[in-house]
Amino acid sequence: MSTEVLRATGIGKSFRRRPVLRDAQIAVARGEVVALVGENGCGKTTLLRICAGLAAPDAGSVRVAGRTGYCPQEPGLYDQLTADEHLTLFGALDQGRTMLAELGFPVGSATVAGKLSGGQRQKLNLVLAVVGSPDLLLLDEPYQGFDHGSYVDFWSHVDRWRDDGRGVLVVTHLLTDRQSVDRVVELPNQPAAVRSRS
Amino acid sequence: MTRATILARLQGRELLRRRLALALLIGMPVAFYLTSAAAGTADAGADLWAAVSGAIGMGFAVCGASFFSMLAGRGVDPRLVLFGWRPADLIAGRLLLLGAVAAVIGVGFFALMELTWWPAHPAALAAAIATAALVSVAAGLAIAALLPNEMEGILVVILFVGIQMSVPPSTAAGPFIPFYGPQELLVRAMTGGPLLEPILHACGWAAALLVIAVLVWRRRLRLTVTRPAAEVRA
Repeated sequence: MSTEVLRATGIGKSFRRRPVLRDAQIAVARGEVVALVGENGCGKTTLLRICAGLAAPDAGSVRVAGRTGYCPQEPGLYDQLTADEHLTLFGALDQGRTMLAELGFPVGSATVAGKLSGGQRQKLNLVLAVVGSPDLLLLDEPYQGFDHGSYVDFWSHVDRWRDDGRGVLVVTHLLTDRQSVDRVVELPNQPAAVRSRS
Repeated sequence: MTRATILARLQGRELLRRRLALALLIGMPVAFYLTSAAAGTADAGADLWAAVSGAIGMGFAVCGASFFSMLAGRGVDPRLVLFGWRPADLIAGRLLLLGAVAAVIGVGFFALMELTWWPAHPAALAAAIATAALVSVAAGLAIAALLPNEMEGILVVILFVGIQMSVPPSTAAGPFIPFYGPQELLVRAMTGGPLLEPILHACGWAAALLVIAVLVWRRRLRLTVTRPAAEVRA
């Protein structure tokens, strides 16, 4: 039985005739953490959205085994709802509160999402992707705005998700993150084959 | 509690926290109606014009609420679908909420017109307000599905409402506009006459707009990768 939780092969995508991805490949196994790196505009977010099933590729195929959790770069939240109300919407109040507390979020706060700081919004954004224990986590620069302590906590959570057997694909720009992952996949700026190195 | 009712409850709470928007939502039809009534003369035509302005003002408010309720969920909806929600749950939740909002505004507006206009046939007035709200909810959802950007969308909402005011129902083009039914019902609130045909006209428009909203929204939120162990090929 395959241990892969995600396999995307030959992915092509253009926007208004401008190719963003050409023949991109990526695979993530259960219990593996993969970093997706590349210059601005090379198609990292587009590839993640395709892997999540939120955008259709022009070419290629995506196979996902299990449930997907997706953390978008821009937090997708209701500005006038609190963190608890978001977690209620996702049916994961207890699990979400526990995770938020571990990330240093003021749990039970009556502050609505639109009035949270950037880092706190991002923590809620991340937790909404992780609740429900998905098999595959697609995280698009998930720690923007985090303070140093929260950033360290984030990576300890990633280690835990790896130990739980989940596949994690993280878009990152930070060189230091490369030490925390099992594999780095680099998307080239000019659409061409994706280079992978261990 | 179903997913639709959870969404309706939470989006309702979101709307209640937007106090200025809520005040405008309620104040707009009242302002349209009262300014038109104050500017008119004491004849039946002026009364009718005030009633039509009020109904269109209410339509504008409900259509705007409907449009912005869809836009507010733009970032969350795809995540809920990934979490296992169906697009139908999202549409049903918004319809529940908007139905309640439209009912509250409509009842208040009906009471105001009853107190100030005294139409000969109040049942026709009630039907006019109910159908105006119905068409407006569906129009807001359809516009938000087709144009999910604030600027373009709100311009089309204004265009939609403007057309209702610029095309009188008695002209050749009248029967083709979405508010023909409510406007005819307002006429019949004064003159009397059968209500079924204008009600059916409005219901037809509402159904058509709702079908557009559902089809476009389903397409927008359709996952290209399904689970578990699913595959998608371009």
